[in-house]
Amino acid sequence: MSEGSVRFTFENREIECADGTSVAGALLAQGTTILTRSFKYHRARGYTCGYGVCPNCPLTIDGVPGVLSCTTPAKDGMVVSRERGWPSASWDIFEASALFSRLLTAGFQFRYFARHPRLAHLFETAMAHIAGAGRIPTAAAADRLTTRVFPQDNRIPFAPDVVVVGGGLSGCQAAISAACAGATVVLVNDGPLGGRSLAGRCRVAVDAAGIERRVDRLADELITAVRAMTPAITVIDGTAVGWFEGGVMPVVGDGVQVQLRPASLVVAAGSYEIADLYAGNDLPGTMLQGAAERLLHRENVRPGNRAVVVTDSDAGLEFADELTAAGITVELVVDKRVGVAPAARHAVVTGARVVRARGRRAVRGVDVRHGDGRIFKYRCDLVVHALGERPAEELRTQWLAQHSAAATGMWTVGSACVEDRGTMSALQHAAHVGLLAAKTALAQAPDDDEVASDA
Amino acid sequence: MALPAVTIAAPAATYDAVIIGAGIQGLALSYELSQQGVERIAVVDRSWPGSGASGRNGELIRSAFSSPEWSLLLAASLRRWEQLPGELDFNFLLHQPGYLILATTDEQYEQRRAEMDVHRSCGVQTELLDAAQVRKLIPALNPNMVRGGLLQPNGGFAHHDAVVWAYLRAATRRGVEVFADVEVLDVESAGGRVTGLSTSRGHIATPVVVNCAGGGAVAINQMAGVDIPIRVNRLQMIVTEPIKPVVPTAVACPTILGYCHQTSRGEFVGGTELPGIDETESVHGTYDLLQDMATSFVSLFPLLGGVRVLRHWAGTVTQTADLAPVIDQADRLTNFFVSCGWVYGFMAAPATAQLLAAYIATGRKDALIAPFDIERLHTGRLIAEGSLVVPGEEHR
Repeated sequence: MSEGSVRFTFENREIECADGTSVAGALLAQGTTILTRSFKYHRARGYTCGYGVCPNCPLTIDGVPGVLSCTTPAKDGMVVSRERGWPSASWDIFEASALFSRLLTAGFQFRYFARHPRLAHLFETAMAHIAGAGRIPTAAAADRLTTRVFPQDNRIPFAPDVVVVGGGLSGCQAAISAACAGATVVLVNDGPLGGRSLAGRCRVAVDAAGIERRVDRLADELITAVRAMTPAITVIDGTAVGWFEGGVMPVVGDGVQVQLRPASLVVAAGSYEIADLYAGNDLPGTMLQGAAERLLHRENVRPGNRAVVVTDSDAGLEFADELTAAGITVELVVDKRVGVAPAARHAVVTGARVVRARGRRAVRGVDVRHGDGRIFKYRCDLVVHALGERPAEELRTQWLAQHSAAATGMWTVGSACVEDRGTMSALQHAAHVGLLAAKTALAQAPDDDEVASDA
Repeated sequence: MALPAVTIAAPAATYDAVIIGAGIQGLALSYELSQQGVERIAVVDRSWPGSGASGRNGELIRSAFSSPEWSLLLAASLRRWEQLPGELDFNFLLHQPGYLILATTDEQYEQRRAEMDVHRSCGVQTELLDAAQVRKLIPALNPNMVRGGLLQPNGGFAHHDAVVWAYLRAATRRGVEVFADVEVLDVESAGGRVTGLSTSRGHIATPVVVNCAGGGAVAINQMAGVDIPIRVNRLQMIVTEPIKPVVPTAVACPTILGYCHQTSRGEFVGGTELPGIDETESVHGTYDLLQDMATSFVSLFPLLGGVRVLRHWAGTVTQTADLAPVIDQADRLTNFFVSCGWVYGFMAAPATAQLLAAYIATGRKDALIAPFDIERLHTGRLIAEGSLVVPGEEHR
């Protein structure tokens, strides 16, 4: 076994990968494109989002079902298997449901056997076994997960001035400026700080001082500053479960379980990439830009060999450059924009869209409708969707549901931002919000100095 | 708001009957009233059909209760459940793998044994299982919590949303008009009789009003000036990610004040309650209940410790002092009917709707619904039912 590498078992095969590689990334590098099957129709599903926010990569790992393998680092001795499909996820006889697709339209289970209770019962029992799901955890796994002992001080509910949820660049920046303003800050982040910047997303960014910087250096700087500000900033490696009645925000992680009651909340939870809509857009080999980027830059895994990039902005063209630089052939860039001059450095069609993807177990090509209405076929094994994003605003909406319309105390920053930033860059805005969150919280709390002088 | 089968136009000026609340009670009643020959029926809801407790439901069905009142009504309901998929032409996934009331102590075990006389006399088939039999039936149960159990083999569950759709579709096909987003502002009367409703979308004249408003029933009774001692209670539930079949029957466990089952999608669905009434109209979930549900169900099924909670939600019901429903006509307000105070409303709806519709249409009250009158709540002749998984009266 080479240095810095880990080995795990996948369905009786030994897989070796570099330390830090995700389970899904390691499997893809070994040629496993099908990670699971869709719930009802058993369609093949593979590496898609790269950030644990879609349902296409759950695997059973060490006896625990439904583990999102794209964000789970591979570890020595792990036992990994797929959950859906019979006899296996790769060769699944229930894939044949596609042959009866006219009979099995959405909601079919409610239409059949209404007048035949026995058949309905048999059918439902069969469906329960066929439907996609993992097995219940092994006793050892369940025991491991329910008997975790949390350090005593990590279980005490406490009320920091500011909680920042999300430790990407904007979250780090907001935490730093809130702490500089004198607030006690908790920064909640799942995994390593840095967010998508770790995959080199947006190569250049404008920092809080308004200067254009390289993202990797900026990330190093902000992460170092956050770490240096202990104890003003406490970083919790965990997930904010939600915002509950009574202002309770539980955070659960591997070694932590706390109930926070922050005065101010900064949502820096990032965003979801938007997928394109066409028949077959779920075939393995279809990825969101962030996923392909993560594979390339963070995991050193080739996402494919022959790519079609679907985009509606220059970001897709820039990503096509990155693919080319990594030695991946960019077959075509499908630019949805009308009236834009095609960039000369790639094969680009503008005003075009993908109408369907071809392939059964993985994408083999796409049919593209050009601006003039004609449809052309392109061969590819990778389709990248570079189509913008929508804010991850779950916490925001939960907070809003518990507060009156006039209430203050919650802000969104970074790609989670739903506010109008005006001319401010994302990081300038995050710094501004951090300060505002601190001031708002400190104005509510009794002022220690005044109390002291009164005494 | 455009919803399937929901009328978009404003309600007409007059109807023969107006039902307040488009949950399973109101929709089933509208369907049965139309079967009784009542012609112009409207169902109005302040939100969308099934938006209240019907859509936030534990969806369990049983008829084995400790009192003849409950057992007889629910036995009739179970028979009706079995007719409905064919009659409504909708497979709402009625599934009858059995309903187990788990006994964790000798006392509970003896209590369940004693109830079997009631079951026999009411025609409800039940079996008393010892600890080994229960463990064999559901190996995933924590053996330390199994003293035995009472199994009703034909109990089970149905897809609650699908039941709402089925009744909604059947009712509207028969000409019932269902309106969403209509708030009732006042119940109008003259000479001790109901005359109409004032609503957020205009006045409706009608000789018959039925309060099927679930968690909103208290306010409607107040508008009508009818005194029915019911209180709002918030209940909460969780659903886990899907897993392969592991809980074959519906399970109620009085020890943890919990009830649960696994759907054919593989999701484990259940709710627990804390002692006392959580008297609020809020439908937000709370963290203390989420923790209670998670820990209680993991204590019952230890392997669930490795399964994630997918969703957590809350809904409101109204309940009475004896936790039994109120199915009656107000004594001082003729033709103001109520079907409220429901905590087990989902499973009882099919029979209740049929019998209440007959009462409204003919004036004859069936013996099965007669015990659930308003008067008992004023005189204190309460129905003694000992197998409910619902917390008692005191506030939390």
